[in-house]
Amino acid sequence: MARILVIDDDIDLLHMTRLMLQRGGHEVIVTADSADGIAKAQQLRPDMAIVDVMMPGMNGYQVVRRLREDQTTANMAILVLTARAQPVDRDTAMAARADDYMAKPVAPAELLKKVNELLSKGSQTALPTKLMVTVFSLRGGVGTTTVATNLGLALQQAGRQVCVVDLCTRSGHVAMQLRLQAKANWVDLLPQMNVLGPETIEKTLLAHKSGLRVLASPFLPPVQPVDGEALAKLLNLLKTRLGTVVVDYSGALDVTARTALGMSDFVLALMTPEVSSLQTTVAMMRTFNTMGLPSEKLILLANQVTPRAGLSIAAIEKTLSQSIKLTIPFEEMQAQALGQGTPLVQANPDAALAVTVKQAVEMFSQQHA
Amino acid sequence: MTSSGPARRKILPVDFFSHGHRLSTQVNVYGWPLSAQLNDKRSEWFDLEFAYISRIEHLGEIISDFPLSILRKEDIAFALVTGQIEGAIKKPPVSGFTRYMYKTLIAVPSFEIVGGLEATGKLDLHSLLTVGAGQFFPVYNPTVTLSTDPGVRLTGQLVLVNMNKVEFICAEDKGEPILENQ
Repeated sequence: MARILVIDDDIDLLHMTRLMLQRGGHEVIVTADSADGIAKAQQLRPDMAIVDVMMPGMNGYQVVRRLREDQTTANMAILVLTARAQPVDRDTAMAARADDYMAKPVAPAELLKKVNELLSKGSQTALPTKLMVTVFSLRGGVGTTTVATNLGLALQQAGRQVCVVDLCTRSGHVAMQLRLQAKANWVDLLPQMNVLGPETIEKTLLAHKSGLRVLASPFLPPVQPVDGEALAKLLNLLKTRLGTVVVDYSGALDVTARTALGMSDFVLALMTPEVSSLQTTVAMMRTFNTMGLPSEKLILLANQVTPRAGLSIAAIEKTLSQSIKLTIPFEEMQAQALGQGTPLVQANPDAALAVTVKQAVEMFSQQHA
Repeated sequence: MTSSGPARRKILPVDFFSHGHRLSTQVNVYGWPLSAQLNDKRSEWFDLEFAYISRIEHLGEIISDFPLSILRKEDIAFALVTGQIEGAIKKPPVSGFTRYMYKTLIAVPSFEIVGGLEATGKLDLHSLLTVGAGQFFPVYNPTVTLSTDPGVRLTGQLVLVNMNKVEFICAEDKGEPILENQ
């Protein structure tokens, strides 16, 4: 049994929702006023809030943002329930950091199922408060950018404030995948790390419509060697200010890679089921060992897996003496999503890639717990 | 949104779209379908209760809301109904002729609408836009795409399109017959 706060200016619907939830065994508090709803949330500390969007004065998105900004209510599970039933409305709800979204009208059984799911998952409290994940490969073309971008969005949907940092020094594509026009990049910022304030640095980040922030890669490879200390300072600042950083990197284990890998809580290492990729992965694992990268940080992901072509997962695991914790099959819709500029986590949450990145988020929570 | 008010109400959630904005609201369609209200020539205005307004550039974000609004029908590009269509249009009377559903693409300012146009017999686009049954005509199971950002799509059960806002219509030359129960 949980304590659930329902905020909806439709009195009839409010009473119906209360009845549905009470029949599900929950204690229910109701209010038809947004401001009163926020006050009740702060006072009564419910386990969950169900918030309507279209309310006069303060709409539901504003209510969700206020609840997330307040320390006393920041970690509550929040479900947005609205007659605005378009994908853009869902995106807006998730950008406001709701945990989930349902379109009205909703059947009692569906609502109860969703409520119980959210209550059992908990909100973002399962994830560490500050989190940095590097999506890594020694080779390009294995999908690190697509995975990093979708992972960033999945974490954003899980209620985190996320920055995806495109650390690729040769033609990074995070901004392109999200249809963002890159202005500043991380190489530009490094020489100024001792001069620029945190607010100024935050203002240089690109903003995706989902709320996701992006720090783009340079268009041309840097001529000067990368200052590892300045890079560490930048990454630490982003982690401190926003809470969650996802790094996209494919390339040599140079100072850029070593800095990001060393600072990361998790490393999602990508490979494809081909002999050449397996060989590179063997080299990568040996180098990680030499670097002293803790094995519990490492999560191996096999991407673009096809049932009849390439190496089997079992064969790969035998060679590496390591289990492949995540796999993503080859999907045509990945290319379509790239073309449309809408990552699969948003465009098709049931796609295999979207499901896998959410499994990765679950893994981060479980290992943190 | 509230549903309290006079006893005889049948509420239909509707999104109205102009060239630059989305207005989400509820319309009372008790005894008077939405299409009939829009096609009522006695008034060039459409009254709304509790409108929630978004800009085209950020269709999800609500910029303001007001309890009283009035729309100029001429400036409504289309009205999108996402829930059940009962109350949106009057069901056409059963005739002896076969009705067909034609797949069409319709361009209005800022949007492309792909959906089904219903016609008895062969589809005549000229008649639709000149004679027609009213200024607002129905397109079924629409997908509406924002022309400036094709990643932004809206779907619904029905859209009522303002013929005076149509820039062009493209249609298949063969339609799917509609079974009598549909």
